[in-house]
Amino acid sequence: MTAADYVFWVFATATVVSGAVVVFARSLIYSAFALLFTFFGVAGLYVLLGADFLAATQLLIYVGGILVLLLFGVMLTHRIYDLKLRTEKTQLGPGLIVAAGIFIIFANAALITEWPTVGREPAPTTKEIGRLFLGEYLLAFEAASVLLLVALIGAAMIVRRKKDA
Amino acid sequence: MSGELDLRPLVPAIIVGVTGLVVLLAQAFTPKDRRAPSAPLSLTGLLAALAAVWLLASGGGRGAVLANAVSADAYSLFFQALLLGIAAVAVLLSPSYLRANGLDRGEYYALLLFSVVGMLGLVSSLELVSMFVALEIMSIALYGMAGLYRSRMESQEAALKYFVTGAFSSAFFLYGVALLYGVSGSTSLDRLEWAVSTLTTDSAALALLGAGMLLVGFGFKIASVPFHMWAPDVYEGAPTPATALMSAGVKAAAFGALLRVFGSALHALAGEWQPLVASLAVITMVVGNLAALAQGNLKRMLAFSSVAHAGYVLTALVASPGQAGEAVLFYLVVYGAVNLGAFGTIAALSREGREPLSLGDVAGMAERRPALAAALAVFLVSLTGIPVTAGFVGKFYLFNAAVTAGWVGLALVGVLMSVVSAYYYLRVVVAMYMRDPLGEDTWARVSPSATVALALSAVITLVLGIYPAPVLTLARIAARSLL
Amino acid sequence: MENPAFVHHAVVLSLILFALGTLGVFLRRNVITVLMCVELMLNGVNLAFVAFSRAQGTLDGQVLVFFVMVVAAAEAAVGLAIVIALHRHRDTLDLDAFNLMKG
Repeated sequence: MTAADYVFWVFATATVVSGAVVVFARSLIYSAFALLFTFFGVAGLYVLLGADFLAATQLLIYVGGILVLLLFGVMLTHRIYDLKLRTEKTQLGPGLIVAAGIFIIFANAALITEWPTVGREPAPTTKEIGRLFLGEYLLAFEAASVLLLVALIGAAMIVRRKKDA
Repeated sequence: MSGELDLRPLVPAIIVGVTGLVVLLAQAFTPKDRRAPSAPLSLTGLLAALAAVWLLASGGGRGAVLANAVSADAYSLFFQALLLGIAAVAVLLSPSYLRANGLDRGEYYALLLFSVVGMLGLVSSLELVSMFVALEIMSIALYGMAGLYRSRMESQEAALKYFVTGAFSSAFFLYGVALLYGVSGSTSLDRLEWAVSTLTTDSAALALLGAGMLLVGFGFKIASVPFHMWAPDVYEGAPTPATALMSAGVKAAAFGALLRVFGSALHALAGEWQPLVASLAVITMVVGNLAALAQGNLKRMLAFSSVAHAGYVLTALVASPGQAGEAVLFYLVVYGAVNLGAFGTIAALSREGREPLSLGDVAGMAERRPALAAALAVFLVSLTGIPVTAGFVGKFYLFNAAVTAGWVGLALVGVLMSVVSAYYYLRVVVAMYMRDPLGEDTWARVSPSATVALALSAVITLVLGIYPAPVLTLARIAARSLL
Repeated sequence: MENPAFVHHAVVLSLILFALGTLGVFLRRNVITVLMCVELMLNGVNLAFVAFSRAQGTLDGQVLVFFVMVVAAAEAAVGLAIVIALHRHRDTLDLDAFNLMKG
C-alpha cells in the first residue's frame, strides 16, 4: 500500500461512517454534522480521483451552501436545545430490503465490469471544465440559470406570508 | 464546440420563458388596486410560441440542432405543439378558479410558463444532462404551483409530497445517467446509442442497470405503479388547473422523453427492458384501476385514473419504436384533451374555495347544467374508451401496437381493465343523468374563458373519435423522425 | 499517486452512499433528515460521475457534477421553503403526520 492508498481508505471510511451516522442518528443535529464529514470525505476522494477544482467546489457549495441551508431549516423549525428532535424509525424492513438489494446488485455489476483505465496524468482541470461549460454543455449551462431563477421564484412564493396574498 | 450554433430549436422555449419574466414584471408594476393582466399575457406568449413551432415545422428549421443538445425534428415539434396547447388550455381554466379561491397572483402564471419551458426542453433534448435540467425546471416550478394554496394544509402537503418523491426520483434518474455515462463516456443520446449497440456482456449489465434507474426516475414522473403513491395526494391538494396541467402536460412531456431515450437510444437493449416495461404496465393498469374503484372523491378518482392511463400508454412501448411512437403520440393528444376537460369541469364550477368533489355534488347536473354535464360525460366516456370518442381510437392503437409486437396477454389485461374502469367513470355519468339534484345549485357560473377551454377539449375529443386520420398522420411522421 | 483500483473502489463507495441515502429516505420520517438523505444519494451520484470521468479519461463527468450541484442547491432551497411553510401550519415535520388526504 502506498501513501495514497492509505489516504484513500481514510477518506472512504470517513465518508461511509459519517454517511451511516446521517441515516441512523436519532438527533437532527447529529445528522447534519455527520453530513458535513461526508461532504469532506467525498471532497477528499475527488482530489484522489484527479478532480481538484471539483473538490474545492464541493466544499464551497455543499458545506458552505446546502449544509448551512439545512441547518437554517433545522433552527427555524426547532428550538436548538429541544431534545425532542428525535424521529421514529419505521419501515425498517422494506427500507433494508430495497437498500440491500440495490447495493448487492450494483456492487456485483461494478465489480465484474472491466473499467477501461486510460492512463491520464492528473492535471489542473479548471480550464478544460470552463471550455466544456461554454461549449458542449452550453445549453445545460444556460438552462441551469433558468432552473435557479425558477427555484428562487418558487421558494419566495411558497414562504410568503398569507396576508400578502 | 460541436455542431453549429443555431438557436432556432430554442425559439419556442425562449418565447415562453421571456413571457414568464414579463408576467412577473407586469405583476410588480401593476398598482395594488388593479389586477395584473397575467392570464392574457401568458396566453399571448403561449400562442406566439405555438406560431414559432408552426414556422419551424413549415420552414427550413426542421431538423435544426443546437450543439447536438436540442433538436427541432418532427418529434420535438409535435410534442412542443401538444404541450403548448395543453398549457394554453390550462391558462384559460385558471383565472376564474384562482379568483374563486383568492389565489389570483402573477407568480402562478410565471411558474406555469416556466414549467412549460421545462417540458419543452424535456421533449427536445438530445442529451441526458440537458434533459435532466429541463426535468428539474419543470418539477421545481410545479412544486411551487402545488403549494400555491397557502391557507390550505392539503395544498402544502401536496407540495411536500411532490417535492420529496420528486427529489428522490431525481437521484435515481441521475444515477442512471451516471451509469450510462460510465458505459458510453458521453451523455449524448447519439453516442449512447452507438455505445449500447457495441457493448460487451459485462458492460451490458451495467447499461441495463442504468436504463433501469432511468426508468425508475421516469416512472415517478409518469406516475406508474409502484412509483405512483404521490399522485393522488398531489392531484387532490394542488389547485385544480395546476392538477390539470400536471396530469396532461407532465405525463406527455415525460413520455416524450422516455420514448426518445428508450425507443431510440437504448433500443439495442429492448429485449431486456421490454419485459420490465410490460410488467410495469400490467401492475400499473391493475393497481390504478382497482384503486380508482374505491375512490369517493372525484379528484382522487381522476388521479388514480391518470395512473391507470400511464399503464395503458406503457403497453405500447413493447412495440417497435415507429409503431409505439405513433400510438403513444396520438394517445397523449387524446389524453391531454380529455384530462384537461375532466379536471377543467371541476375547476370551472369552483366557488368560494369549494369545488364539486363527490357524486352527490354532481347529482342531477344534467338538469341544471345540460351543456356542462354533456361535456363531462364526453370526457368520462372517452376515458373509458367507448367507441365514437377519441379514447377508443387511442386505446385501439395502443393495444394494437402491443398485439402486433406479440404481447397479446398484455393487450388483454388492458382491455379487461378498461372494462373495470367503466364502472367508476360511468358511475359519475349515471349520477349526473339519473339522480335528482341535492340541495341548491351553489356552484359558480362557468366563466367565458373556461367555456372556451372546455368546449375546445370536448370538440377535440369528439373530432378525434370520429376522424382521427390527420392527427394520426402527424403522429406517424413525428414518430418516424425518432428512427 | 495514481491507482487504477481507486476507480473500482470509488464506484463501490458511490453505491454505498447511494444505498445509504435510499435507506434513509425509507427509514427517517423527519422531512429535513429525508432531505439530508437525498443529498447523500446525490453525493453518491457525484462520486460515480467523477470515478467514471477518471475511467473514461474525459472531463465530461466532472462537468456533469456541477449540474448535479446546481440542482441539489435549487432543491434544497425549495425544499426548505416548503418545510418552513408547513411548519407555520403544523408544529411537526413528521412525514406520517401529513395525512389529511387518504384514500
